[in-house]
Amino acid sequence: MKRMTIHKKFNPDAFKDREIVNRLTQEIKLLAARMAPLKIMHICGGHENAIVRYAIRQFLPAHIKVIAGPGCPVCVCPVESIDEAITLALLPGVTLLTFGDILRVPATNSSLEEARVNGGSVKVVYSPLDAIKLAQHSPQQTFVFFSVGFETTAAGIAGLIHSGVPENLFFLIANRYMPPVLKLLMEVHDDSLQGFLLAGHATAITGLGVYDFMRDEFKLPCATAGFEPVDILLAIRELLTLIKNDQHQVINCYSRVIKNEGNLIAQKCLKEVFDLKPGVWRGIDKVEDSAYVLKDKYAFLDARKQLACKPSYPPQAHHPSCLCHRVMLGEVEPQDCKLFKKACTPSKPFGPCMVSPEGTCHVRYSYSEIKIDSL
Amino acid sequence: MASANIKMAHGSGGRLANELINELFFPAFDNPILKQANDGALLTLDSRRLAFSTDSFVVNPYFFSGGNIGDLAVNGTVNDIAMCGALPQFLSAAFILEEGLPITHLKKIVNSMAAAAQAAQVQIVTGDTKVVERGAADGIFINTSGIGIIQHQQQIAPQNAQAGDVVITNGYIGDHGIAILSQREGLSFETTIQSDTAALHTLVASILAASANVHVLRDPTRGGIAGTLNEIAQASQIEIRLEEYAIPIHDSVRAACDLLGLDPLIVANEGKLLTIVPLADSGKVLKAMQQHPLGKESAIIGRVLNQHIGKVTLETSIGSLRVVDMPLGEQLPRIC
Repeated sequence: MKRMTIHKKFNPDAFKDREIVNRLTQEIKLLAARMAPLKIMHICGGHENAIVRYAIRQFLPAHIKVIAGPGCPVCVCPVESIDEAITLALLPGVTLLTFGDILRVPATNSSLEEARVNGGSVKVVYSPLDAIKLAQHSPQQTFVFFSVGFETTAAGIAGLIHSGVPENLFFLIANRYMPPVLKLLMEVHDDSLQGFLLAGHATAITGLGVYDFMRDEFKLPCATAGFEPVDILLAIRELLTLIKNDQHQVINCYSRVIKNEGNLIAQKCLKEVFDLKPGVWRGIDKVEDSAYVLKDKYAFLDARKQLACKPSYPPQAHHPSCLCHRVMLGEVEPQDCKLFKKACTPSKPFGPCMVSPEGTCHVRYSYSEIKIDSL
Repeated sequence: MASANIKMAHGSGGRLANELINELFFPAFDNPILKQANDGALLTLDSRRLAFSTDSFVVNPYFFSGGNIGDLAVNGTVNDIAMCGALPQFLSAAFILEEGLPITHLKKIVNSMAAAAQAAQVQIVTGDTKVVERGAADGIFINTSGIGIIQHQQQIAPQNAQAGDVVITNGYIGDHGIAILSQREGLSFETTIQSDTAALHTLVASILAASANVHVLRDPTRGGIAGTLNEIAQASQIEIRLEEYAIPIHDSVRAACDLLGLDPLIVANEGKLLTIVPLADSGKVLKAMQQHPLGKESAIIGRVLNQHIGKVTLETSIGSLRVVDMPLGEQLPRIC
């Protein structure tokens, strides 16, 4: 059959260029030809989304696996923090502000969405700046911004707090810092895990240096990567080259966005506003120095210190059959969970990974791959 | 039925909506015409072939970039009739108004309906008004029904796609859904995207004049082209393979979708159609569509195959292949 004309004018980006993708694929195949089976882990929900949306795993040799780690901020947010947010949302006179992803994540007894149905005041915002505007607009009302996310979101909040916020706006901080978790991942995985793809946006804040311990302690290479198919394949090729040559640097494959030293102003703001303390990652463990906590001098903004946010019930993390915690660690695939696509769907999620568009289960639910056989 | 109460997802065109139709409405109203399960019913009255359809509109907000609930309500039913291959003639309009709705808003909406009806050359010949107390509705809901005449002899149905056919659309997809979303409360990102709401019956007439072998005609509203094409792939027991490069999507729609974590293929349209015709006729049909004011950007976006039966697949811009699943449904409530 005659092939249809391809309308090149609709290709918006050279980073999706098919010829470059083909060349990278060939190079990866050549590199991997005499390598033992190995795994590379990415730690960013945006990477999983791009990998599945473009079916990038189809381009990799079968013995080179790219697995998803704990890269979905909504997924790793501890159930205790969502319980606190729900408690706050149900307090008279308090409006809880947050990003939309977290609304439907199941917590101990309900979700923020259910709390809203039950009369709680929850409003979705798309930027922390909206929180400032809302607080200024209704000075009689108390607002709490529930902040969930990694380094990138934490930096935005730090900047906001640093430059001053209205008196009626408080913060419930549940942000997490990624680098220490890699140590935990090294304990969980065997030697087949041989490299990490670092998250593009988070590393743009911190710079590459915070991952030097991977080279020094674990002798494992890391590469930052962007979010287009060419970005991801390029970073995989570079990682394989390092692995093959037994080199362990942290390298920057997303230099159009990331400076090696990171964003120095953001780093200064983060240091000024937050301490790093031990923090729970949902379903995973308590991880040293991984939770952003407001410094004492900002205690007047801290919802945990200023408002009654302690729930009257103990936290209970997840349904006994739910494998979200093991999916987040890259130990199992969503398909290995007996709830996946059966009892657990985005409209009735059992665990957090089925809720957020960055959650591995949600991504795999939304974009199934197909065996390539006919191109 | 599994649920004890109605949920938003029952209205979304997805799995729960199908459950409602198959387990409640079909058994209760059982008749052969209903069982055609088309957007509109195909009737024969006094040896004349007619198409009859109805649709309710609850869009929030009711004024949006590129239109309002009024022209949407006229064009929506005109298009349901047009997708039966019929020429729309008469519409009814029923209003459910919430106490407190500004009369100026109602006037603006009614004037838009009049203008849309005139542009589509249909007459609104009967109607009804109900008012409910504040809080029992959200401003204004509109129902329209319509009747059209079928003047061709072609067999057009979602079951009729065949291997070797091609899929054609009349332009950029996803505009309506993104226009609505960008105006919802709290979603203040700036886009220049306008709803594509339009009456498509004259475009359909051009298609039917260009080919005597039109197999499928559908308007991909809720659920986007992913939803509609999945229904066709299931009904015809074929595979529809899309080419990502070939699908016209505005850069601003793509950017908004990236920001919101949406796939443009599942975003609603109100002025787009999908037609499936044999490859041999595709040149003629494409040319006829491109000469129509609503089809200038028409493009062949995919082809019908016999491999992955019942599935829609996408050859991505980088040459990989993935399944385009039936959308979940309740992601974008009250889009029309």
